[in-house]
Amino acid sequence: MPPSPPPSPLRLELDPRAAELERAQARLRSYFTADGVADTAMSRAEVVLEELFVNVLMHAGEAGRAEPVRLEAWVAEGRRPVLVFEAAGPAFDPRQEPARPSEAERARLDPDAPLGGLGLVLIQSLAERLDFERTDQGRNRTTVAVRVDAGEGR
Amino acid sequence: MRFEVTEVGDKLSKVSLHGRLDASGAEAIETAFTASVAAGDSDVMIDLRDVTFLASLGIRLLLSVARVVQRRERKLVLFGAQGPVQEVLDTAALGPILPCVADEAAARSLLRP
Repeated sequence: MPPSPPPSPLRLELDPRAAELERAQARLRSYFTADGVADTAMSRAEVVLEELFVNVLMHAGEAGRAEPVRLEAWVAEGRRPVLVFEAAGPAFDPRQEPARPSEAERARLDPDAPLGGLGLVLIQSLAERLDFERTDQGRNRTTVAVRVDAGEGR
Repeated sequence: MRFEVTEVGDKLSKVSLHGRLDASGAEAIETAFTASVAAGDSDVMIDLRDVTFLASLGIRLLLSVARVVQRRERKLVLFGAQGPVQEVLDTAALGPILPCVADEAAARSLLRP
């Protein structure tokens, strides 16, 4: 089971456009700072949010741009940031995508290869736990418990 | 997000980036940054000491200019990345194509062995 939210998590509803990402990140920083999250973990949470949001802007098509994005955030035990990101669009399970060669390896194999896929690598690497659900309303709901360094959870 | 270019030696330039190299930051500087780095015949050091945040679209911009520079048989190296920015670079595993060293002296040594 994915982590469960406390009674009053941070809840944001965002239009799927770039300016809203900046608003969400600023709000997230403020919320996590108040709850004593370490800078490293907070930065990881911001990267995860950015990659999930940018994925909607770039890949979710008209369906993804037609409905608001919903974000929930809270601080779990061990000062661990948790994000629940829900958006419309084609099914996208960030756990199931195949591993890919590193960007450097791809560039070595083919210097003209298109750049991309880094966002997924970052999400997977910065998450301690990653859960996904395709909701009954046809939305992608991704829950990310962000990785926290030893000693930063106290 | 902003940047400035300084000639620091014979065919050697330093590009200093300031701010958040996220989606909006990358978009804001992309055209001018790419043109500035691609122009001329200098090797390039990119100073990341004042970059406070890096995500995938910022990395794509750095990779894109690295390709342009390398196609012109010049070299490009990053230096000075701070904690979270360095972690993102490490995670992306860019080493050989986009090397990142600790400081400017190390960057100069790499470009002028």
